Amino acid sequence: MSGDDPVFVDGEIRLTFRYTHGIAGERFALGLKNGKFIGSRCSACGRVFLPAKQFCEVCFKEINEFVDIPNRGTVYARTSTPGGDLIAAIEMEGTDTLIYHRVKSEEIDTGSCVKAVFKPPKERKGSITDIEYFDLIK
Amino acid sequence: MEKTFRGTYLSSEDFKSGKVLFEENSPDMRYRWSAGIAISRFLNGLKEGKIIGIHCRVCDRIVTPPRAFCEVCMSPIHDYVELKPVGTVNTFTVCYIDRDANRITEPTIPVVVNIEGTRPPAGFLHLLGEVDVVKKGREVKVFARDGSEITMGTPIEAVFRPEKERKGDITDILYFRPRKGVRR
Repeated sequence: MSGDDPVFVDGEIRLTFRYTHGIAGERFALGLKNGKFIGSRCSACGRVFLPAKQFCEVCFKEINEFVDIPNRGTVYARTSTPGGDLIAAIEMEGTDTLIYHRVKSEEIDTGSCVKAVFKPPKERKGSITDIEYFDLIK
Repeated sequence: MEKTFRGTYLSSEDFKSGKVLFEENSPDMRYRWSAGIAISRFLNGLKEGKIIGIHCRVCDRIVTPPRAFCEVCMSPIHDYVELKPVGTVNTFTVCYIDRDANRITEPTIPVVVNIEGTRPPAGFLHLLGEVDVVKKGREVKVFARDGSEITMGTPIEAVFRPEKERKGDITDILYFRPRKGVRR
């Protein structure tokens, strides 16, 4: 009688996808490319979203108003990853949302005032990684 | 009337020209599929040039490929049997497309084989080889090399790969061919 060794088959599903940011997401991403933060304001409830959203997630109303957000924010929470990166949730001034990114040093913690440090213009691609990290406002 | 939806229509040209920003990614989707207890026995059997079946004592059925449970009475089954690598044509067709649905000029002949020794007759799908396809108008017939026509019930036998090339795969059987000098 034949052997009992389990037989297996190796396979691979090749999938490549492209994700576009959408109308509001693209405004935000192009803003980063220019070293700026672009959010959007809901005309119904007044909430300001960063990254910009096309629809208010609270009232489900369409948003058409895009606003420039200053490069100033407050650290809402901070942690470190097993890889040693320091990451924080940051509330940018005038917004009702949090954005997540790396921060430069251990001294940055809850309540710290921070600003984004962008990569040199030539290296920016319209991506969240156009921001190098957030650093203290001295 | 064509229905149009709100949204932004994009062509591949828009991606190439840089009209839109996008992120590109391809997830690593490798998998390993285990054949299970019964099919592993079957595939290991093919490697040794054998066709393995299984006997359900409750139903007194002998089937191949083997399975861990009888699908008729739901009993777990363990009684593996060795079957001869011969059988008869259950049904067949002449196929002018390949696995990717491309048109091909040299047809393949998929055949459902009833393996000898199974009861009620059971078997699996494979290919028929060492035969000739003859087209006459819209009629297509398949003949053995001795000139006899292939029909349902024609005795056939498995042609295995050379032992060194076998991998424990259904393609360890290259094809089935008509059995010489064996009458139905």
